[in-house]
Amino acid sequence: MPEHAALDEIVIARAVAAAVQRVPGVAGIGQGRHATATYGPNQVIRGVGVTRARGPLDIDIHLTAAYGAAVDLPGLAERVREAARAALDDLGVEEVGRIDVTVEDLRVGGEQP
Amino acid sequence: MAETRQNVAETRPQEAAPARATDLVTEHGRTTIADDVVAKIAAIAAREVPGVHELVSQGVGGTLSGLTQRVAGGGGDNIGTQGVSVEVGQREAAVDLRMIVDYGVSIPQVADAVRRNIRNRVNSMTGLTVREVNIDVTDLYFAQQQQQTDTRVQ
Repeated sequence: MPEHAALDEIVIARAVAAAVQRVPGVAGIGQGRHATATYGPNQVIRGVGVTRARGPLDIDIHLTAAYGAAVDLPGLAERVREAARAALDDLGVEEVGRIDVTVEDLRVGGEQP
Repeated sequence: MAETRQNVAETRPQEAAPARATDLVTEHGRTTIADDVVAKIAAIAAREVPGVHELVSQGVGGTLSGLTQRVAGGGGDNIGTQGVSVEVGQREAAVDLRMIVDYGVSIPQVADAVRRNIRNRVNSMTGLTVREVNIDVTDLYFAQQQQQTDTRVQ
């Protein structure tokens, strides 16, 4: 437990952001008008909020989905949640609370990873 | 089950939910799909139907929402939600649509196809059931109008 207490929010947010952006069907994060963000010294990770209010870590992810005829948004959100959880595991974060996912926009014909 | 759901909805104020939307609460967290996303899916679905020439916003409300979107929305994305308004509940959505159709098509058939496509797309992408799609055909498009129309469409 003391090990992940040393991890800064911004480090966690960056790892989660990177993992989420690699999920097929995600066109981007933190681009919407309601974007959440994590702030650190001289840096901002948009689209990922990290809250440590109560014991476990709560994550809030705001993303833009890539439009495709077969995209199922709740399914996409679930894959995003899994990717975030895996990234947190890799960092050694043990206590993870909720991972909230908001699909705030849809991109059409854009650059899909 | 229905009662529990209602209680939850009543006791939980419309807190920080940004673009108040369809919520799917799981044990691992909540998934939220913004109303704008539902509107965009409906807009795309309508445009996919041949015979639909364009979706148009109309009146002050439409103009304002179009403006808001242009100011706040991301650049480079030309599919907006103008001409579409949605009402999204827990499990259902209602869609209002204003559109221009190509001259010569059967409007009831096109409207029917638009309705079907919106229902299918919204349901497969968000899980919401589309209760109704109200369609307002505001104008006809004639091919000869090409030049006029081109200047009108931004």
